[in-house]
Amino acid sequence: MIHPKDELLNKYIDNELDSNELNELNQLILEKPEISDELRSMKIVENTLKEIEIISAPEGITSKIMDVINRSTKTIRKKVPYLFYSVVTFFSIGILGLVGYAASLSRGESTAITETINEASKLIPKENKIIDNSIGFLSAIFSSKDIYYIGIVLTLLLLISAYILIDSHKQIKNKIEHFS
Amino acid sequence: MKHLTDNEIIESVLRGNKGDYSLLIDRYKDKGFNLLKRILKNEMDAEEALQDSFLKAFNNISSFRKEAQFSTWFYKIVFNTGLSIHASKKRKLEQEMISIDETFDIGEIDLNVYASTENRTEYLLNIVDKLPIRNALVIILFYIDGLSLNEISKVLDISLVNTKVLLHRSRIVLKDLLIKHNYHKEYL
Repeated sequence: MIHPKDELLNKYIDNELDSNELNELNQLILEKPEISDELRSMKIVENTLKEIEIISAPEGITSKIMDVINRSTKTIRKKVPYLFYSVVTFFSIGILGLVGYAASLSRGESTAITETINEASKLIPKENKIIDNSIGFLSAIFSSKDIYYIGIVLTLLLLISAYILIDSHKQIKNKIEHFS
Repeated sequence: MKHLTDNEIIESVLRGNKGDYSLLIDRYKDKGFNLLKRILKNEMDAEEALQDSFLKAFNNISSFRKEAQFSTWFYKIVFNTGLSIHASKKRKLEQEMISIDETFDIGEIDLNVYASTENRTEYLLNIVDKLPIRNALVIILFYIDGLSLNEISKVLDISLVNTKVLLHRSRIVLKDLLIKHNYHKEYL
């Protein structure tokens, strides 16, 4: 705890006294003349500290440091926002999952499309059978009700992963700041 | 080229111009050295710590946020490097860093400094180095490096209020010491 009188002296030095505090200080000096000695001493401290000469760093330190930097093969590059990219990727996958789910809801439509595709595939030579099978497989997946539950689980997993990623990023950043 | 701002130099270094980092070194080497010499009380250790600080800053320069001041960020690195080197040598500093509320007594040290100095200015400058480390560092950062109390609080990782208390308490101690030795009666 700093004595109120000393606080007034500090404020005087910092030029932070309001008119009431200035009057208070003047009053104190009138009552106790030794306080003017303290004020004088504070001014001496302030003026002397302002004149502290800066000690120069040893000669050649810049080239010493630059030698070490130039010898190192490490090249400093702008930080790539990996976290941002990974979050965007995760959410993109999530959105794709939702689109898939939405597609499964329009089952009737997709069935019609499948039939159209099947009819069309009859006209296509046998070499394209693999493509036909793949399309059939995909439409079977998206027309299944299970996709609804898979979508929910995937979304939850993605949200949890995103949270963990952000949290771990913060922790690493704090550690780096602490060590630096 | 010599009048680039800190951020412009950092941008240039990030573009691959490693050599421009020397501009930052030249700009901050003296101030960093002053701070380290006060922490480590030894010129060789201070030089080693300064090199280490600049290398750390270079290796982490991509994580520097431009909205912050480079000086504050760099001083924080310097301060932490100085502390870790000092801590590896002795534990005294940890005791000094425990609490902001603790009072300090430099009675015996004061007598030695008083006996070994020839005038008021010399005495005052020597006694600053004998203050507890945080008090001395606040004075150096405030008066030599011209940092604001807010910047100092970030460098030392203490609150703004505590930074101000440290500065005020240090001034009061120095003021009382000058009175004790009748130095205040000399011409201002």
